[in-house]
Amino acid sequence: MVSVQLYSQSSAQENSGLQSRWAIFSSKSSAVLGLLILCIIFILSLSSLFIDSSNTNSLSTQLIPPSWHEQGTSEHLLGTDLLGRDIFSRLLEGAPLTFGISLLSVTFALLVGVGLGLVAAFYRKHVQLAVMRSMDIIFAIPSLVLAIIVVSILGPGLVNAGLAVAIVLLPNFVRTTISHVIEEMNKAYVDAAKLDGATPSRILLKSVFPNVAAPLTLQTTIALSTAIVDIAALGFLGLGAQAPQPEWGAMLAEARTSMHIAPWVVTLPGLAILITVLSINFFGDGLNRIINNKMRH
Amino acid sequence: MIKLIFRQIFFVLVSFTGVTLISYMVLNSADHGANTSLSYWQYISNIFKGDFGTSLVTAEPTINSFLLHLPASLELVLLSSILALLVGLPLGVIAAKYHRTPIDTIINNISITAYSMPIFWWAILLIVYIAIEFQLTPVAGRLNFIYDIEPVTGFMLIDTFISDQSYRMEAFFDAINHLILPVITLATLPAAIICRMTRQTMLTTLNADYIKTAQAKGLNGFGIYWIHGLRNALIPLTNMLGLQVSTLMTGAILTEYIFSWPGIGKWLLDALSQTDYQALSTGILITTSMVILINAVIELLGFWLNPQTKSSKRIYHG
Amino acid sequence: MALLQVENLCVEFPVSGGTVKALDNFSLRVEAGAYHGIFGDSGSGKSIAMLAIMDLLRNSASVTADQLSLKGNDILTISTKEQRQSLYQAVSIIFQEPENSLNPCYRIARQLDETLKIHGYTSRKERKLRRAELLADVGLQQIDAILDSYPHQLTSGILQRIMIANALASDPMLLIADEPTTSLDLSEQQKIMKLLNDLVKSRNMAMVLISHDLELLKQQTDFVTVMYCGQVIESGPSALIFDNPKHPYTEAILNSAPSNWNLAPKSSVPSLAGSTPSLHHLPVGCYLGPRCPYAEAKCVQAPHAWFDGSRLVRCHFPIGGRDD
Repeated sequence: MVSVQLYSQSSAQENSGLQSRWAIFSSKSSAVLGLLILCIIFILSLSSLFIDSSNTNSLSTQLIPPSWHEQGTSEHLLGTDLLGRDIFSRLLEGAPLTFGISLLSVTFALLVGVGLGLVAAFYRKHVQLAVMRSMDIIFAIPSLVLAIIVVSILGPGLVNAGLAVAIVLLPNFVRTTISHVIEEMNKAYVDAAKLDGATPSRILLKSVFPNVAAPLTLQTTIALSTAIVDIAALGFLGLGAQAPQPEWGAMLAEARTSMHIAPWVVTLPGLAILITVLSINFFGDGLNRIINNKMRH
Repeated sequence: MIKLIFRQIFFVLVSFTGVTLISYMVLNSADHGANTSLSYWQYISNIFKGDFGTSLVTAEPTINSFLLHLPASLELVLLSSILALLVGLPLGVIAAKYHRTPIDTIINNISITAYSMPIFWWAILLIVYIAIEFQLTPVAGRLNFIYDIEPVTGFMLIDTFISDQSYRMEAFFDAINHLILPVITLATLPAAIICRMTRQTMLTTLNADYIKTAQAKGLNGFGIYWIHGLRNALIPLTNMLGLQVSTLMTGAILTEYIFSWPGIGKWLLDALSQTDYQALSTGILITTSMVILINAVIELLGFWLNPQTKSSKRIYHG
Repeated sequence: MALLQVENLCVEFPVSGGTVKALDNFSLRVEAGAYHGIFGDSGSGKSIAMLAIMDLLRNSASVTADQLSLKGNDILTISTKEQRQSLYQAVSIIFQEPENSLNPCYRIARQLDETLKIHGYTSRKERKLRRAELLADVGLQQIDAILDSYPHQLTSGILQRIMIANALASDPMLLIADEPTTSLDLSEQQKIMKLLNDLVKSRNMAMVLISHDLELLKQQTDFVTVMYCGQVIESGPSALIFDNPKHPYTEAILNSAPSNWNLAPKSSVPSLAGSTPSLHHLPVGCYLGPRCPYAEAKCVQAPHAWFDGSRLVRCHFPIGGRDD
């Protein structure tokens, strides 16, 4: 009788974690593209913080179309705006404003939200109820109205806009944390009873947290795309970044005055926002597939 | 179900209280020594009497000003919601039905792009390319000012129609013309989200055994997708849609700003720029309360649609 | 001509990165009034085969066969409403979990009505009568209360009886039951099984029963088909196969059944090591190979299913040698 030697296959065919995750993620090229673009934007944002680009108003370079236009020049790749400023460099300068502040906003909401959620999940009953109810109220307020509230109390500005957006994002993180931690805790108690002796808090941190990480990751990508659009919207309305800051939303607001004769001034900043948000969404879609896949097996 | 209704009413009241606190805070953040030395309790009792304060800027009761601007927003939001549902629901069902075919991929990609668009940019693009470039629609406003229409209901479509002016039909079509771009702008994001959510819930629903039972009866497509599929998908869908009310309001404010639409969104922003804290706090209070109320109603609707929450008691015993 | 004729039915599902063959050359021949059983692990393809026969996989998988016909009518090329109705009139299916088999949003009365309407009961009065008749046939009482209820208000035993009533509404010639009692309480399991058998016998229907319960299959069925990883590995008269299995898998399964435990010490029962492979990572050659105690070098070549005179078996080295 010949035994299993003939067959080299077995359960060892499960790929290593990271490999299989990448395989699922990259099965759709849009996810990889999204990741790539996000990295580029991130790098550009960081580098533009350190590079000092002099972009002065100049009447001589007013409203030059982008370089592919017949009247454009290669000196101004994407053209200039009404005040003669180069759009490409302004977009670069604006990246850390729009993208960077959004990242900070989301990080803040994540940390505070998870913190609040953990507190509520552990202390149960009244604390939990109070936290959830106040989160529900914040959640019910339309994001722009909430931003108006914050700005009316604290005044306009990019940082205040970031704070407002962080508050808008808070309820989602809190709720996700609470519901998943409680779900895990219910499971962990059964195990903890068996392991009696091991400190419950350690078990909870070691087994609960990994399981909450997945939905939180998803939540973060959604929050990031929301944050970017909201911060740009506030910049557009003049409640966030103030002109002449090159924040992409504020750029759009300034561009409105010349939109009927220079459509590129108004198209390009919006395009930048769209590309960024699309990248995040496609990237998040890829993450979603990994999580769904891992959950099924 | 009755229990659920009472629970909901309780939650709504608690939320209203929270919102009044916030709007009171806004009122008192005026650091210009405004003559609002109202205590919180006075503020609340005034509201119950219908007194929402008087604007320092216009010297009018804020509630009057708010109510004046409300119908314009309602008209915009209602029409946009209807458009979003008419476009989003069927597309979502179609995408689910043709899952894993190019149709599904196309619809999916279009909807992702649509909800990634910043609404204020989308509005500008529409204005630049449709209103300015091709001059198909007006750029802003509700009605060409050459038409003098008496505001009876506040809804322009109705007011022009029932007007006794000789140019009423012209004005009616002009009103429609002014509505086209704002409604498309506001409806795009919700339509995309409705489409995705419908697709998602339909796909989950269509996997159920009772769908196979329905197919094994010999039902045709309509029976399976609409009578069995969508009816069940509506339950989680309604709850998800409830979340869109808030999004719709944010979009409405931006849309009104860009199109100079004289609704409460624009009114609120104007109040902010004029630091009219009385108007601001009134606006915030009422708009948020409206959203909370509508959310509560939609959630109840979701409970009602689900027989498991609507009637849990057993009829059959043993 | 057999009532149901299936030859080399294959079902492939699209997955990220290719396709998965859920069913590989499934063949079955059911005569009128015959009682067939199908046995297999999860993933063996038994449910898929039944869904394919009922033409329920059209939109989600690619289904091909040399022959797939009921009463001589081809199933794969069904295109008109009449053809579809003719199929669903002649064959009905009941599923494993009755709580999920009925639409949670509609009352029982409406769901039964729907079936009756399609199968020709045009008047309300007719349907009312027939509904009551059917529910009584499946042993239900307090019929009015049941008809007025929503599925979540009834127990799974009652729901499964309703499903049986629903299946019988069209007076089918063939009933397919996919593990009809597996998710019911023990007390209900016997009752439902008896109900099914009585009904099938009294109406002279053919039956295809999918089950995990070997004892049940041994007692009830005339013919049995054993499946593994999407393939038929042994198929033929139940008496023959249960008493004298030829495929190592069948032998191992029968040996592991409690009733077959040999209490003699040191009885070397050939058992199967390892676990059933996933359809995404099937072995080369015979799918049972890596686990089979009788495997030899030739087993890296995929064996065909061949008829050895009494039964179909898919093995290079059937136990006890060939019969022909």
